Amino acid sequence: MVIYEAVIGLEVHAQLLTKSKIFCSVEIDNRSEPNSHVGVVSAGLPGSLPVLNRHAVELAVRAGIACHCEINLDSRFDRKNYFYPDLPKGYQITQFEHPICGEGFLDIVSDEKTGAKRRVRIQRIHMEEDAGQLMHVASSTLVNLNRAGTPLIEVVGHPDLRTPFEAKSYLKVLHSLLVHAAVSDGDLEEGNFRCDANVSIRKVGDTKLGTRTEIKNVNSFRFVEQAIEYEIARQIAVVEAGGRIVQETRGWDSAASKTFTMRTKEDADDYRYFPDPDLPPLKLEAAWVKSLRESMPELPDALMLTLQNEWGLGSDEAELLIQQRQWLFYCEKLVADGVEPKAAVSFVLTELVGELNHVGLSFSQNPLNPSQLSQLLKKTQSGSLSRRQSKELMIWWMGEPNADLDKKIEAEGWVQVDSSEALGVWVDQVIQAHPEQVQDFKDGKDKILPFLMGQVMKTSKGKAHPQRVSEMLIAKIRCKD
Amino acid sequence: MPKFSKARELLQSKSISSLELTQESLAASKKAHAELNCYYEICEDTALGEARSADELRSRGENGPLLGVPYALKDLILAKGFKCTAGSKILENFVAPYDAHVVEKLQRAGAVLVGKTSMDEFGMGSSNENSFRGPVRNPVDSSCSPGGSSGGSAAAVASGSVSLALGTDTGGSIRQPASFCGIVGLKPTYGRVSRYGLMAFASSLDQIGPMASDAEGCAFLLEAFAGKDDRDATSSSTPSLAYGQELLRQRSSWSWKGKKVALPRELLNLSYEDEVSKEFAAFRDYLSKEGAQLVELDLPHVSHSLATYYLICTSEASSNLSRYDGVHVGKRAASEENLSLDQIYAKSRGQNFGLEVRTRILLGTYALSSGYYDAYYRRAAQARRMIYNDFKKSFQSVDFLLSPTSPETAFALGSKTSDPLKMYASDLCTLPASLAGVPAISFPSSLSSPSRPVGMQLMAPWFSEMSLLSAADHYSHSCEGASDGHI
Amino acid sequence: MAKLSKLARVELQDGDQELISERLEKILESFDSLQTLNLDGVEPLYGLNEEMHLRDDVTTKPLSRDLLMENASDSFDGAYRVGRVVKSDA
Repeated sequence: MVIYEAVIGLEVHAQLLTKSKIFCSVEIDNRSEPNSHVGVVSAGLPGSLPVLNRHAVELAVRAGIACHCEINLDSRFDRKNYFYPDLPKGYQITQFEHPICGEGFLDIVSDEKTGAKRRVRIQRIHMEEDAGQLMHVASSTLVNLNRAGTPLIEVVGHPDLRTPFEAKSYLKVLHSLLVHAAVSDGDLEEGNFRCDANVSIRKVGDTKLGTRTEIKNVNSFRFVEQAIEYEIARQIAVVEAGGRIVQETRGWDSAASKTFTMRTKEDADDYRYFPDPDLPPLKLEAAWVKSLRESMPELPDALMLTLQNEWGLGSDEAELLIQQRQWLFYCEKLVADGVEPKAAVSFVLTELVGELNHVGLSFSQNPLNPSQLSQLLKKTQSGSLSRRQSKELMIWWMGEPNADLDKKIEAEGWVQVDSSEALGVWVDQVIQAHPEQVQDFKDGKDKILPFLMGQVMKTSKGKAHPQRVSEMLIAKIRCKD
Repeated sequence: MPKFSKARELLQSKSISSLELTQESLAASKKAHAELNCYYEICEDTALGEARSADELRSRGENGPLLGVPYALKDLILAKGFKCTAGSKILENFVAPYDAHVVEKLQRAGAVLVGKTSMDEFGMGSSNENSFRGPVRNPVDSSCSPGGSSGGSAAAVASGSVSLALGTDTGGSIRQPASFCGIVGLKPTYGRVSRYGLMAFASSLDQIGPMASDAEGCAFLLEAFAGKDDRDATSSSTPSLAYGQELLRQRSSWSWKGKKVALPRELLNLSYEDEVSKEFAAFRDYLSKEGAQLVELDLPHVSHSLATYYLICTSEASSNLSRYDGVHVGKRAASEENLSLDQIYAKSRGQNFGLEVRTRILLGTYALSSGYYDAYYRRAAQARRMIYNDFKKSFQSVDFLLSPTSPETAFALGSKTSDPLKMYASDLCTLPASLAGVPAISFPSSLSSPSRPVGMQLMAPWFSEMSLLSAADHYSHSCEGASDGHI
Repeated sequence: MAKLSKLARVELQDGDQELISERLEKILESFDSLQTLNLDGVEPLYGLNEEMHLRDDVTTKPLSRDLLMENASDSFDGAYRVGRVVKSDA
């Protein structure tokens, strides 16, 4: 039986986090009314000229640094000529011959079971402008240019990937790097992170590449994995049946779980690339690139170490926070405010995220800002609130975020009691009421303590300061004859 | 209409108001248009409004050199609210949604926009016969072409309807019409003037430049609109000068003594019309008498200018004109049936672009296409580097390069339209300066009393517009029988 | 010729195809001298101004939709309109 291997290369387009477009100074806004955020340049009007956004260059370089790429101090913009309604100039400004970043690599998880990692190569990263969007309505197509001119980077990987899982893994790693480097917000639903997959097969042992097909417009990592898996099987079936693979672009039908032909190579245009005469060559200064390297935000690998070593988190928690950048960001603020890291993370992961899920809010819709939650958690930290109380308060406060916390605590009567007198009364009561358990504790059964504590908390209706209660119980019992 | 120096004097001494001057200009423009077909639009209402504002400002003490002075604008440059057609049917309904940088500057200087002038479609032509509204006639001889592509602007100035006009020069489109019509026209250094708001033909060659009946007019006009613009990444940060004021200051002291003027052999060896040869010889004598040192030198690669220029400009144009698609901008093809997307593009463009434009787009598409890019476009760009180096080397030892502006004088309308190569040959003297990006001026020379206008062309090192303007100005003030434009 | 016309999206009427084809041939022939020129190792000159020119990431007002649609040959509800496009992607 012939054994085939798949050869997969991914091309990812990520939108850069700039305020204005790449060559046009109008604000980026994809959500407002059609054609409400278009300028002279992004409309491609006669007489318009592109001027490069410095911040876009910075972000592209950061992306290159995050992906361990060579940063090319000299690069250039070219025109890619073709006609389509979402392209008002009739050409796209991109970087063809001299991209801003050269060879790089990513370390990805290759084996799902063992977690073994493998290094795969990146060919290049270049900058380009996005096209507008088409809306199909009845018998016509409408063109909205709000998105036209948005800055993109295209990350082109070598066809080093061999399995659909590796492809998914690659995307996750790349996505995480770009989000952490604050290059892109990587919002797949909004289309800010798009992936095209080039797939071919060959007999194991062959060094020549087989004919490849390109799968476009797949908007989730899971679907990419599925689509590639399907395509590999399809290609093998074709070859086994004696056919030949047609070089073409295919789409993914998630409902039917199949790839389908979008267009074949014969339809492909000759793009007639040539250097854009409106833009001088881009020359970066080595010193500037160096300063960017030194000021990079912490990337996942380093972050993992920080979270484990400085915050004392376990690898699972750390992994989770790295994946959910927003949660991490929130926790960072809590920690900066003085909340103990492990407690902050624990509370956020279990209570906060849980409650948001429960009431159907997304994390970005969280009504409590970090300083509010840190206020709450610091009280728990100092012991003036119990964990149960702080959870209840959190839930209440989410419903009334403008209310005053201290007033509420007072109103509830949850101001914790830790005066020796008051505590002493309760502790004595409990010791009196449970002589057997007290004796057990004296005899060395430490596990009885929580029961006794629980009794004190009950007697005090939850107001007793737990730490002090515990100390006092131990002291009093030990002192008893 | 008085020439600029006179107009400026009259306005500043308040002997005439801007309103009166503008009314005169409007009347003359209508007449010129009726006879010569040189305008696409005469902006009467707004012009009168601008003239009144200028008079108002003057009464409050403002006194800029262009305040209240009427000017014409080639219809390739956008003025907000006015149609801008580029001489093409595809843009016959296009209204400019913003002002070009140069128009903003002229507005601030208080100049008065009188009209948009006719041109060869998208700047492609040397005779103004490629306009969608018919050919423009030369005021000197109405059976002849005024030159192109800025033929409308040249005719507008030469007929006396305005003393100042803006043209554009990609391969000679300001200089050659200036020569044919007997006026002064300057192509600035590439990057001297912002191209923001100039509909692009060939991005690495296009420049907006002044045209006037005298060098002084060109100088003050250039002073008003030259300089770096943040909206044009190819505009230069080399400081712009007060060309007009400097010209006046230098006038009495400027001299040809000691200046080295080179005659490029590759241009000397072209075949010239008799009158042009004669005038050229007379001009060389004049220079020698004035104390200039004349030398011959080689610009070896200039003999490849035609091929280099046409491969580069058509390639860039084929891309620049893609935006005229009948969808976002440009007239859509009329059709009974529902057109497919590609049909909308192909028919709108096929039906509404003229023959020369279609030819050049196809030539450019070919030169950039896969398999031909290296042999054509890239090669031409390499040849351009060689031409640039030739110029660089020559300016190490000389101050000016000299040639006639064109091998011929204004030719009869219709005499060249069937042979594009013959038409292109009209630009042989002007192309090299465009390729190298150096500034070049054409001014009328009549030492040998030619029967029709003959232009002399001076070229100077990058950013030396001042020398060119002073030299042209010096000629017109020092010569007997020098052409002095129209009054 | 037909391929070029399609690539450039410029439809040619019958008479024109031949005429333009002839002209192109003649013009390209005249460029033959360029082919024999020795240009080994010469850097192409694509643009004359090499000064870098970047802009700060500051936003400016967009053009009004009305102004944009004014020059569109067909629009609907503030968007450019063409007949239904069959291809699903660029």
